[in-house]
Amino acid sequence: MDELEELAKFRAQVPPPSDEAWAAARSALTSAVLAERNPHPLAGDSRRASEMESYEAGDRPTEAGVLYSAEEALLRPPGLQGVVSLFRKFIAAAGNGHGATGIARVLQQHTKKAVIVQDAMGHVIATGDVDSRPGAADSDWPSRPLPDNARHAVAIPNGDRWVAIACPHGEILGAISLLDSGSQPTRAEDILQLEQAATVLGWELLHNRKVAEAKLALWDDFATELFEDSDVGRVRSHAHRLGYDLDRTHRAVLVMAPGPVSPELKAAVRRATERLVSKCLLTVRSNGVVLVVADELDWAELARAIETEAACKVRLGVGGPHRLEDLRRSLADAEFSLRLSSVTDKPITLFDELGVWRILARQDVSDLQELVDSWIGKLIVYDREHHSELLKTLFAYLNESGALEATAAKLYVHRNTLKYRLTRVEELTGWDLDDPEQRFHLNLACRAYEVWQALERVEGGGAREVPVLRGKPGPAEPGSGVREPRKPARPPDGSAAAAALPDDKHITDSQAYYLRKAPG
Amino acid sequence: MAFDPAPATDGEIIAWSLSEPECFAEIFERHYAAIHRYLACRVGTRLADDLAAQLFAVAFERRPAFRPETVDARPWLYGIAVNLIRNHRRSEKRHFDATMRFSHLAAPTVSDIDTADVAHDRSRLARALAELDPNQRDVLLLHAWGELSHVEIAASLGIPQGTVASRLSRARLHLRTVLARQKDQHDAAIPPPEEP
Repeated sequence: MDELEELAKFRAQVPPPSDEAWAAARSALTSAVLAERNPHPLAGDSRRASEMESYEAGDRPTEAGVLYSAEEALLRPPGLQGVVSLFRKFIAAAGNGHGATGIARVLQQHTKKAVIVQDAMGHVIATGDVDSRPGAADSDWPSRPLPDNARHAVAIPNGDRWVAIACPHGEILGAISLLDSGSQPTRAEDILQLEQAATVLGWELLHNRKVAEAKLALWDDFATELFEDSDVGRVRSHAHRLGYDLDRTHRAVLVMAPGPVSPELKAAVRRATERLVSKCLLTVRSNGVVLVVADELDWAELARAIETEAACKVRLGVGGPHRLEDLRRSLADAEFSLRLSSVTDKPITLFDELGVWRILARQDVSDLQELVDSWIGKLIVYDREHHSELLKTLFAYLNESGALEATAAKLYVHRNTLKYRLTRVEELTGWDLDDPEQRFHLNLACRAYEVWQALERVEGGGAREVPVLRGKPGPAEPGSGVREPRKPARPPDGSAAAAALPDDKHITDSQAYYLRKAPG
Repeated sequence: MAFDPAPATDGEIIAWSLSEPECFAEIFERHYAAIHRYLACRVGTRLADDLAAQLFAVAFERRPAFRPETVDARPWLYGIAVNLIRNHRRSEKRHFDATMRFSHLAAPTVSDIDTADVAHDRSRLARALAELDPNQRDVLLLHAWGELSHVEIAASLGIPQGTVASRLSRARLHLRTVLARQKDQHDAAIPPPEEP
């Protein structure tokens, strides 16, 4: 018998593939097809594992290999040694202080493709090759939704790039992307290297995060110390250790928001401030968040930034610039400015711009009382007893620099009525309204009364409704006009002149003072 | 544009499958039975089930290297099959060597005996095949079991046609001799020795 016949006979005895074998082979192919449709070239690829095994054996097939040499080189993984050495390079690059930039550079060198590293917000924090792609500062990245099932250091195709998310503990810390250059297709090796880079990037970013958290705690302690530790030498040595220059003058900024002071407010203030300055010292006090800054900031911009971050209205009191020893004074300034903000009615009150208010407020309250009492005390008592508006009239007159017409128009009263009232004022108090010096003192007394009330209002917590001198006229007198159109927020019921007797619960020291003085 | 794989050549289907991966199923349906049979002849049915499945997955991955002007994909597929068998044989041989060192089993008569083939069937023919030079055996079996032409075998193994022809004739000669010798031994021995 011919040997070929024997072979044919042998072949004929071999049974055809079973149905199970067909089905299994078919499903293996289907999963390979699906893997390509939804590719992840490295994960869940049993074929690759088997290839790795065969390459590991070392002796590659020679003859048949010729046909596939190019293709096999493409599919061939860099091998265990290659993987380890690349990991070493990534770790060395990250560890040499180059961080994400080092990782991006190494990846770019190995893949010959543009690489960008982004933080969790999508901002580009490092690039491996900016030249080859001018648009690398990618702005539309954040708008690209990340896949829900993004796993740590697993590359996923995303339009013109492969992205690997760095989320070693589930929270996304950043992402590294390999951009398609167009000329060269992304190879499986590139993807593998991208994933290695993302792995190291995850460690790097996590490390940075931990260090930053520790630093923040340290800085917060330091900020608290600035106000609470009276030992200047110790504070200085701590500042020196943190590399902080305390010789510059600093301002304390008190940020107040509605409701109790929350950690969220603090975090919002931190985020907002860090947009404007590199270093920010924060500490929390019972009345708000205190920010210590050395730079002159655009306070309005800061307030806007905080309001955006905190999603609520805030008020800022900015203290004067002081050296370290006097930083507590700056805080006191800031607190005072905030209290006065109801007088100025601006969201931001700079202590520097408070002028005469500052001098008035520096005095003891008894000085204020004395000033108010000796100059306009009689008017306040008279107004309350007769439900008149002499004080308001006087203040308006002084504010209009003694112009009768303008004052009458402001108050919506007839010129003669105004004249009559002013005569009454002169009669009651004995002051001469034509004397410049006396006029100045009257003006000062009116403002002092206002400041006094403002200070009480804030200290009294819920006493926001207390009537103020410059308030809108009460509902009892619809005829009188709005003197201060820039104060639309003031509630009408809190606007009666000082003479109007407020509810008991809203009574303040200044009013009680005149209640006591009232005869009978 | 719809693509009807039925009248297309293997090359056209594979080219199309680069953009429509599902088309590759047609290649599978066309050639699975033949490939499986070839593998089963060489390594036994059970292992052939695994290798054949693996083979088509590998082929699918490697299809970008396939030249689309090629009409028939079989030489390519058989080439992959030969590689898979070799890889498999290597691991089998490692295992076999280790077993020998530790249990002092009798060494095989031929050093590079194809244990996969032997494991399948220790028949006379298998023994004769095992004695063959592996390169000659690949050529011979692609010819006899894979039913490939000389040109196709050359493409399969990536060797020149002349080499195919010389290896084939040597393999046939060798096989004929061995078979004849075994037949003589068989005839001489009464009763015939049982195959272990």
